[in-house]
Amino acid sequence: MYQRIDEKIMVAGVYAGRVFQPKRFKWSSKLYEIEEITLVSDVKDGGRKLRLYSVVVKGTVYRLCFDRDSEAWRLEEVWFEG
Amino acid sequence: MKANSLRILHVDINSYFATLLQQENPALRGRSVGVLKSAGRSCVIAASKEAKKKGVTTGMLLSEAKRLAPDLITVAAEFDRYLDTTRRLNKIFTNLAPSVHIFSLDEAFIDISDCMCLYPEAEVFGRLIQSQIKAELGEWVTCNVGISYNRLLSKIASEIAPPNSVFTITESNKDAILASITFKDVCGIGYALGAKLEQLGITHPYGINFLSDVELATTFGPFWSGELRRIGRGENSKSLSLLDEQIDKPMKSAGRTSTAYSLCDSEVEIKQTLYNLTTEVMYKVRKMQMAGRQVGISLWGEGKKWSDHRTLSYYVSHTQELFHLLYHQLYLSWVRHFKIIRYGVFISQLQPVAQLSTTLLPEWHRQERVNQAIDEVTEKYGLFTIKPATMLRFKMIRPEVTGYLGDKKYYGL
Repeated sequence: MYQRIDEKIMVAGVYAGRVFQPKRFKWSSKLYEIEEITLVSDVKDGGRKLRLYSVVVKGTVYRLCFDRDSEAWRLEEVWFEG
Repeated sequence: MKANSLRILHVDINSYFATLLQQENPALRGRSVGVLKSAGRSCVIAASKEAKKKGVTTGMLLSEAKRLAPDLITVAAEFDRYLDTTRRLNKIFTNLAPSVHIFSLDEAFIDISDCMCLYPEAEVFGRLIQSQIKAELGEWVTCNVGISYNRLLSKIASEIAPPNSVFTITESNKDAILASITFKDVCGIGYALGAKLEQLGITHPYGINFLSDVELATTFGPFWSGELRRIGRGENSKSLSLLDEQIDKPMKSAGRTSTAYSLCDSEVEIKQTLYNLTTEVMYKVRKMQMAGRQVGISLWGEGKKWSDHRTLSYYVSHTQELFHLLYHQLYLSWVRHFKIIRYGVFISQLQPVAQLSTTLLPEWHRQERVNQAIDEVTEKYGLFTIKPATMLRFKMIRPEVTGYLGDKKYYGL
């Protein structure tokens, strides 16, 4: 199941062409190296444009959210087996 | 039949909701996944292909699904992401061919008549679609592509094809296929109609040809006798033919249903739920700059259903007005005798506001200014940012897309 986190994170990445690809993020002082981006979605919450990235770190999926207006990143959810 | 007359494709993403969750999460791939509307729900709204192999079906109770597939993993649906993925699919299709009709959240018809010089072989085009979907959405996302010379047959082709394949129905294999499939593979024939046909000894579409026009008309009436005759011959049904006419037409109605977690006997909660659904429906109607003059409500619970509607001589375009009609005039005029678990509201006979005459009543204009102000806030900060004080403690039911995608025009699809 996905565990709700909803905490601010710092993200570093690269632009491949015109597409941003997150490569690593820092959550609670710990650095997470992204191995794979498995799904990217653009959603709207009212006028807020959000880009959702599902990324894999050591076999675990993390759901990251980028607010395209405020340019802020949040870790929304983490997959927990069991 | 010439090969180049095979120009209608039906693309159907395999186990859409579950497949996207598996694409997102490698830990779910190859495992039985049951998608729930939200955590804590007791109904499986979609299943992965692995769960389907064990007998899990859409709409099945979670307890039954877990009995069939004890290893079932349940995951909450991500409706906003499904809608975005459908938009991406639409972009893939329209980049390849000019005539695309999104039929539901995970299905589309593509007519390649106008680009047959680019794609002389429909099967090659079908495989191109499959590869582009994988490239855009991920390796785990597979689809069936059905090919034929009309929509009915191309949809049947994708229904009966094995997962991740391209299948063609031609004039030469059409009858054999119509004689070998059941009605569940035929678009437009629901459970009740299929059961009625079975009572007549008709178990497959080709069998309809053995019924006379009189038998069909007597048993099924004027509309369905014609539809069934066309289906038996493998011709487009009326409902599939009409898709072209709907392309540039605005929506005729907007509605919203919602199933609660448990039966409700609280008048306060029923009122709040109806207000919640009314707000969402009217926001959509206003955003499309429409107004309607037929309003209705349906309530279900304890195996019973009550519904009522009213056709007005004027058009409604304000949330408070719609709620007043639905709640005060329809609901409160009914003596409730069962607890409620499912709620539905709708407004229909929609017309563009620009085509309607403006009222001179000052109160209407005051309400319009209030609604316009709320629309502006909603547009910027989201639905339910502004709500009545009576709703402050109520957990708002958020908008969600349905698999059928009935409000596709609202979503610009």
